[in-house]
Parts: sequence; structure tokens; C-alpha cells
Amino acid sequence: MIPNILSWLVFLPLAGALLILAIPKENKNVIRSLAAVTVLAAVLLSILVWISFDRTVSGMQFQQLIPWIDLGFVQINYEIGVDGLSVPMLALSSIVTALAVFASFNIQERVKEFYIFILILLTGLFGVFVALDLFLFFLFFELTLIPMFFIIGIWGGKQKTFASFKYLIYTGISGAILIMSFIAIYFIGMQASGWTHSTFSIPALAEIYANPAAPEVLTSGIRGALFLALFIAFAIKIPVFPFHTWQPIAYAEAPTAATMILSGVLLKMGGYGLIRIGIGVFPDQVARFATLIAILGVINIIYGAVLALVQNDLKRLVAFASISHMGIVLLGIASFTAAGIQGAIFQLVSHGFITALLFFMVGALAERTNTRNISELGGLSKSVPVLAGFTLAAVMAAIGLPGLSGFVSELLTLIGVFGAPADILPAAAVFGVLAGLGIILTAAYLLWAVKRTTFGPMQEKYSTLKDARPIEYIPMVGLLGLSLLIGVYPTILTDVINVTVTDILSRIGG
Amino acid sequence: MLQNAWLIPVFPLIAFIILLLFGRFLKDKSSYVGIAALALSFIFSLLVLMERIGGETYGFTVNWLTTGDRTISAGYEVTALNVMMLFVVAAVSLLVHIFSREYMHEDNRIHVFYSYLALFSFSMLGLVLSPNLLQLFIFWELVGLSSFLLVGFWYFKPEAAAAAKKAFLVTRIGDVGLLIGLILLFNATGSLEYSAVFSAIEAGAATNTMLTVIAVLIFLGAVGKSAQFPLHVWLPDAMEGPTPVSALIHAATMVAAGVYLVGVMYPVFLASSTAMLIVAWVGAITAFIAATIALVNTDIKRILAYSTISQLGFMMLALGTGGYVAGLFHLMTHAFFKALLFLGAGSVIFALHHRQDIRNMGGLWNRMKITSVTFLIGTLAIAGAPPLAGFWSKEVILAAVLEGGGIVLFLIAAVTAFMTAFYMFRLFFRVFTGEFKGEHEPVENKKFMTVPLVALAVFAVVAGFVNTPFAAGLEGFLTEGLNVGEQAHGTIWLAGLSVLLAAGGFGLAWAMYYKGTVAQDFFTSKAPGVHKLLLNKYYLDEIYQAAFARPTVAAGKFLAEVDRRVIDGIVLVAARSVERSGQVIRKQHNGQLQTYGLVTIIGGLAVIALAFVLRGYFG
Repeated sequence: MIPNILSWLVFLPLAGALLILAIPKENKNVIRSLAAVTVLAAVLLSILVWISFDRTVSGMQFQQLIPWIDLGFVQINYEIGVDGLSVPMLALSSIVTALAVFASFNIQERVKEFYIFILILLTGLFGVFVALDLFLFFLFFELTLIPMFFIIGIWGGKQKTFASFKYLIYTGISGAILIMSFIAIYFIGMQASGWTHSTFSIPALAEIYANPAAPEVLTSGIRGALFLALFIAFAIKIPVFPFHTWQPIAYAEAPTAATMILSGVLLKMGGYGLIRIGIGVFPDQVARFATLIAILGVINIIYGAVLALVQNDLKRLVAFASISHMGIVLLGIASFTAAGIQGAIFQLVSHGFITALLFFMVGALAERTNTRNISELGGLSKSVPVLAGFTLAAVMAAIGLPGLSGFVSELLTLIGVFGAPADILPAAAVFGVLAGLGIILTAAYLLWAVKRTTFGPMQEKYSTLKDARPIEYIPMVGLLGLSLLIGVYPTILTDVINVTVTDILSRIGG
Repeated sequence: MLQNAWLIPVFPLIAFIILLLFGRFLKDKSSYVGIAALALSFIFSLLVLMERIGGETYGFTVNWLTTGDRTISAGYEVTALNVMMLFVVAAVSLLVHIFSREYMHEDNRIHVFYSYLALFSFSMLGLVLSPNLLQLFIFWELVGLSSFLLVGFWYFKPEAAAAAKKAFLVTRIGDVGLLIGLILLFNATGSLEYSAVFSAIEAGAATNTMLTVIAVLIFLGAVGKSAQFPLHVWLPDAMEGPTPVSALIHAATMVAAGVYLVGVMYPVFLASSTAMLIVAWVGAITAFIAATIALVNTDIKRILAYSTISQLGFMMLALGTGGYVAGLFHLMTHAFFKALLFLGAGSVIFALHHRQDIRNMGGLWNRMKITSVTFLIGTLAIAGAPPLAGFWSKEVILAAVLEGGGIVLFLIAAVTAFMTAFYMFRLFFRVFTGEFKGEHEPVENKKFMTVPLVALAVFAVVAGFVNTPFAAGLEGFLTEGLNVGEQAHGTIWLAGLSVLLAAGGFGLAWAMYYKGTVAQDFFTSKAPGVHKLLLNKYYLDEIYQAAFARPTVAAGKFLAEVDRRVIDGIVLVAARSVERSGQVIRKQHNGQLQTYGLVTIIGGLAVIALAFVLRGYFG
């Protein structure tokens, strides 16, 4: 076991970025190889963390704590660690980023900056998923913002400037709300601890908020306000209706690799944060607002699906599908049961693979046909059978076909929703049935899209398209294979998640 | 041998993987890979069947998924019911694999066809071997996928693409019901293993209302998969797939999975009389309306498709009225004679260069002897002519309906049986007798196609003898150790009535389409409105379009506008102004400055907020 493995993991991509900085920008292949080696090393390290993670111990593992900033009354620590929630997210980040790196080898312009940004982004992602200090969490959270802004703004499509600014404004607001809530949580926590603690540490704050020395500080109103502020900040990221409108255009305009990372991992920070800090520090408030969260979850599911049904742009269609599928995460959290929370976490991982694959396929088809408009496509199975086959497989995964991972998250979440305690989530069955309606709608819009793009008579203008290149098999087989792996044998993932879910539930119960 | 039963679905799985990876190089040799795999599956299922007769139920499970303190397992089991199914599925599957070699040999994607066919066989055999409801559901969805792929095999035909989508989508509605039903069952009983579920229900784990809800939701899955009213609309369209596919998936096996599901979950249904009543009535309505549509349709495959829907309704009707053995017995006999009829239709279509309209057929009796004779056997079997397979199973169904369902349901069943004989002989006379219409003289097909026909014809003759009033072997086998209630038995007058109905249907068809003593428009001219209604399949497709599809799309278009104008509107204004100011700045500096500016502003806001909060506490 490597000591301080988490720090190695977090700063490895940054080191790779610095190395690339030193290489002349003409050496594109050297830069690409270096980026590939860095992300592959990150994949190996994150899998090492996965393997070494002790599935029988609750609480944080591989912890590291270094006092960092001490302003007397404000102490910020470099405190990191992982539990069963963060370990899968680390693997997801490294794998999706690695496959995105392979998927972006066809980028020719400003290659050096591109990979520097991607690697910085990965450091930010890792940081978010290991940070146990709110301030540190915020720093990494913001660190992911800047590279993605540049990636969309420089390598994006026609409306890249507009899309990147919209992204920046939304996530900027999200960040601003987040830091303000963190500071408030910090000071109120200090007060609630009877002025004995002054900490940004999430585990310590969870303890303080659960058993305050000065309970009178933590009125129901204060707790509720803090939780809702956090919720909005993360809701923008997930995104939750009505904060979602930055997302379709950002996805549509970003280059394929960036969309894969953005949808596959970056927005998972929202769901992760909601569980880590929302449930972690305010379990009582999650219970209090369970119905609201469930309503928003169901709105996401149905609204996203119905809008996906009328999109003509394939990328926007997948973007709305993504909104719809993130509703599952909210619903799982709102159910307040082991199965539901398991389902929510499972969905974060599963959706990461599936949506990245969908965006990759859309990108691969669009690159060849020069259009993403469904109305201009059709009959692609004839000229590009392999790409069409993988597209269909990705669609089936998104539809929730058993054997692929999406089904397991839907199953677990629905078990949770239908088994939700009536005092926390009244009318749970209604939410469950509406989620079921969403499952039907998902099949409707995705099959409609397939029917119009790969099925149908072949169009003459597409008869000479080249099928998948060897390098494209890496992301396709990789992402589909992972979805298949955790779909056929979900225990490989739930095994890691379960101890933390039990831990969360015991805190909810206590 | 029983512990090797898991290999039965694994053979076609291996074939699927081989064909997926290397099919391109194997080309039409792919068919041998598929046939070999299914031959092994068939031999194994035969051995398993023989060992299970007089033997014990065998099961094996491992943990698949743990949630909280409950686990869901995966594994396989060999019961009386599923060995019967295994044998039927493996046998029909093997014969269809053989038949397809000739039928599909001109298609240059024959390797893809065989890979899909193998995927289907794997999924269907896996479904049957499942020891719990979730695993059944998993394979249930996989057979749905294979069905989708095979219906849409000729994806470049717009009708095929639309039919594939429709099949998947309509059955998906039922599947979501089944999924919710099994989740409620899991939450109520803490398990999804059949045996554990049944003992929990016996111990009173769920209220009566809950049981009814669960049973109806599970039945919804069966309604979708087994094409019961009102979700039957996908099956006739699914005839766009290659005909061997229609024989295997959309007649003999997959569409019977819904009936099998009700059979497997029978104790849950028996626990709720409301659910039983719903099953019986849905079955009766389906049997009746599908038969009426078959009376007027002119497409050889669609007539058979409506016939399948009608016969599946018969099986449901039997199950809903307490005829557990009757329903499952008919499932088995129907699988053989309907596969025979579909492959026979395939043989005709192949010989006629893909013509399907029976108004343009005729006179094939002397030109395609094997096809004609075997098709006649199939027709007699489905019409209920003694002593063919359909006679025995139909008679116990009538007995069950009369005893457990009352006179109204019995009359519906009797009228449907009459219509069945009529439309099947109408089909037979129009295709095989009279004048041949067409240019190319058809000839009998090669052995790859005729041998399966003969084999299925043998089954269609003898399969009924496993359960006769003289020796109810199947009944004893299926009900041993199971509490499925007392099974009704046929009487001599019921047998007489059954024969009379078949003879009546035959006689009328003979008079109208062979002898011509009754004019062919004798009925249609008297009730043109009814005729039009039936030709248009009760306008159900149009009603669904107007009631569900179009409103959903309209809602989508409306919400898309709301999303763009209202929800996004506010942000849009803000973003545009930033962009505009950005452009102003860009004229003086490089483009990155604006970014830094914005980030600084946000950071600044945060600092101001910080100071504000600090003042509150330390001021």
C-alpha cells in the first residue's frame, strides 16, 4: 500500500499537466501520449484504492490531515479520506476521463492546452471526491469550473462563447451559494458546539450538528435554511429543474470529450455533494424535505423525458435524457431507505458510464455525417454497422435494459421508493408510478431517435462513411463493458457502497 | 443431469458470442453454429425432462445483490412446469434454426440473423430456468430485446423499423407494471424466490388488497408480452420480421411467456379472486376480438398473428377460471401447431417470392405437397379436430371455463372456438385449393424447410396424448406438490360440442371458400359497418395515437417552448448582456480577460459575503 495514496492520486494529473506545460506545443503526439500515460496511471491508482478499500469498516479510510491555514479564528485543514461513496466516484472520474482522452485524439487544434485543462479538471474532480474539509471541497469544486469553461469556450461548437458563459454564470452562482453556506455552516457550527470547535471538517461538523452542545442555536429554521442553500447550490450542478437550462447548450456545444466528462463525472459532483454534505451534516433536513426532493426528482424524470421527445439535435436529446436520469438520484435520496440511497449512488456511477458512451456515439456519428439533426439522419446501420450497433447498445443501457447497469439503479431506487417510510415520504407509491412512467417515456424517445438515425432506408450521401476506427473501440468497449460488468454483477459495486449506506442510515436512525 | 440444466441456455449464449465476434467471416456457415448450439440445448433439455419425470425439483442459487438486510439471488431450478417449457422452447427453437438456413440463405446478413436468434434462444431458455421473479424479469427483457432486433432485422424497411419500436414500447408498458409488481412483492415478502414468496403469502405477509394489486401488476406484464387486449396491438405489426422469427418468437415461445408467468405465479393469483376474474375476462375479450379480426384479414401472417393472440387469450381465460393445467397444456400444444402453421406460411411465402396476400394465392395443394399436408394437419389441430393436439387441450379449457367461469365466459369461448375453425379453414382453402394465381410456378422447398414442418406436424398430432381424459399424465406431473386447486375435466358431451364447433366452422368455410354455395360477401354485405370495423382492427391504433402519442408530443412541444422562453428567459438576458460587454472588452484586450473578470467578481462577492458574515459574529 502506498502511503498517502489519495494525495498521490489527486496531484498526479496536475503533475502530468505541468509536464505537458514544458513540452513544445508542436509535439502533439508526445503531448497526447503523456496525457494518456497520466490518466492511465490515475486509473490504476484509483483501482488500487478500490481494491485496498476495506469493505467491512465504516467511516473514512486512507485519511490524511495536515493543518493548512490558521487565521486564529478560522482554521482550514488539508483533510482528505474516502468511504464507500467516494471510492466509486474516484474510479468513475479516472476511467471516464481516461476514455475521454482517447476519444479526443482527433483534436488537432491547441492540443497542449486541451490536455492541460483536462488534467487540471481531473485533479479538481479527485479533490472534490476526497476532500473532507468544506473549504478544501470548495477549492477543488471551483478548480473544475475554470478548465471546463475554457474547453467549451475554445474547442466548442458554433455557439461556444454563449454556452461557456452560461455555464460559467450558473456554476459561478452555484459556487457562490456554496461558499456562503459553507461559511455559515462553519460559524453556526462553532456557535452550536458551544464555541469549543472551529472547524470546516465534514465529519466533525456532522457530529456537532447531530449532537450540538448549544441546541438553541440550531433552530429548525436555521437548519432548514442551511440545507436548502446547499441543496440549491448542488441542484444547479446536477442539474435540477428549474436550474437546468445551462446544461443542454453546454453539452451541445462542448467537444465530445468534454461532454463525456461533463455529463459523466462533473455533474455527479452535485449528487455526491448532496449525499456527502447534505445527508452527511443534515440527515434530519433530508427527511424533512423528502417530499420536496421527491417531487423535484419526478419532475426531472418526466420533464427531461418529455423534452427529450421533441428534440431534433441528438446531443440536446441526450442532454435532456441526462436531466431525466438524474431525477432517479434525487428520488433515491428522498426515499430515505438503504435500497434508495444505494440506488442513487449506483445511478451516479452507472449514468456516468452510460451517458459518456451516448455522447461519444453521438459525437462519432456527427463527426462523420456533419450533422446532429435527427431529421437529416437515417439508415446509418448500413454504412457504419459497428457504430450503429454500439449506439443501440448505449441506448439500451440508457433505457434500463437488464444486464446493463441502468437497470440496477432503477431497480434499487424503486425498491427504495416503494418501501419508503410513510412518515417521511407520504404517497411514495405515486412517485414510484411516475418514475415508472418515466421509464416508458425513456424507451419512447430513445427508440424514436434510433429509428430515425440508424434504422430506415440508407441515404446516398452517407453511403461512403467510414466505420469505427481502432482507437474508437477503446471508449466504446470500455464504457459498455463497465456498464455490462456492474449490470451483470452489481455486487462488485454495491459491495463497496453498502458499508457507507449502512453508516448513513444508522446516522439517520440515530 | 439436473444440475447441468444451466448449460441449456449457455450453448446458444456461446453461439451468440461466436457469431457476434466472428459471424462476418463465417457468413452463411453461421447457421451451423446456431443449429449445433440448439441441438445441444435440445438434447440436454430432453435428458433433463426425462430425469425430472418421476424425479425431484432441483435448484441452485447464489447471491446476486444485497440491499439492506435482504438479498436477491440468481441461479436456476428444474421444476415440472419448466422442464415442459424447456423441452418445447428447445425443440421449436432447434427446428426454426434449421428452417431458417434455407429461408434466410440469400440474405447477406444471415450471420447477424443467427446471432440474434441465438440471443433469443439463450434469453428464452434462461427465462424458463429462472428460480425467482427478478431473474425471470431480466430474461423477460432480454427476450424483448431479441424480439426488437429480429422484428427490425430488415431495419431499412420503414415498416419493420416502426414495428420493432412499437413492439418494444407497447410491451414496455406492461413490463413497468411487472417491475412495480415484483418490487411490491419483494417489499411485502422480503424475497423473490418463488417458493419463499408463496410460503410468505400463505403465512399472511400481504393483505388481500395488496395481493390483488401485485397480481394485477404482474398480469400487466403478461398482457404486454402475451399480446392481450388492450396491449395486443404490437403483435400483428411484429409480422414485419422474417417469418421464422414470427414462428419462434411471436407464436410459439416468447408470447407464451406471459401465460407461463401467470402459471409460475399462480398461487399469488389464486389468493385474489379479483385478480383471477380480471385474468379470465381479459383472456376472454382478447380471444374474442382477435378472432373477429382474423375473420376478415387477408394477410397470411397477420391472420396467424391474430389467431395467436386469440389462442393466448384462451390460455389466459383457462388460467383465470382455475384451469391451471388446461392453460399450460394449451400453451404446449399451441406452441407446436402454431409454429407449424407459421413455418408452413413461411414455406408458402418463400415459394411465392414473398407474397403474403391470400387473395392472390390458391391451388398450392398439388404444387407443394409437404407444405400443404403439414399445414392441413396444423389447421386441423388448431381447429380442435380429434384426436389432434388442439382437441385435447381445447376441451379441458372449455371444461375449466364452464366450471370456474360461468355461462357467459363459456359462450364467449365456444363462439371463439367456432370462429377459429372458420378463419383457419378460410385461410387453408384460399391458399391451397382453387386456382393458382401468379406467374412463377411454385415448387416445394428444400429439406431444410420441409423436415421441420414434418417434425412439427408429428408433434401437432401426438402432443395432446400426454393429457387425455383416459390418462391425465400431464395433470399429475404439473400439479404434484402444488396447491393449484381442483382441475376441471372434460365430459363426453363437452367433447361432442367441441367437435361440433370445429365442424361448424369448417363447414361454413368449406361452403364459402371451397364449394361456393354461400357467397363470400354473404355476411359482409349484410353488415358493412361491422366489416369495416373489423378491417380497421377496431381502430385501436388510431385511438392510441390520438389518446397517448400525439398528446405526449404536443406536451413536449409546449414544454420546450416554456423551457426556452420562460425558464431560460431570465438567464438569457443576463448572459447576453455579459456576452455583449465581453465583446466590448475583447476589442481592447484578449478574450480571456473577461473570464478572469467574471471569476474575480464572483470571488469578490464571496469575500464580501464572508466579511458580512464575519461582522455578524465578531463585530
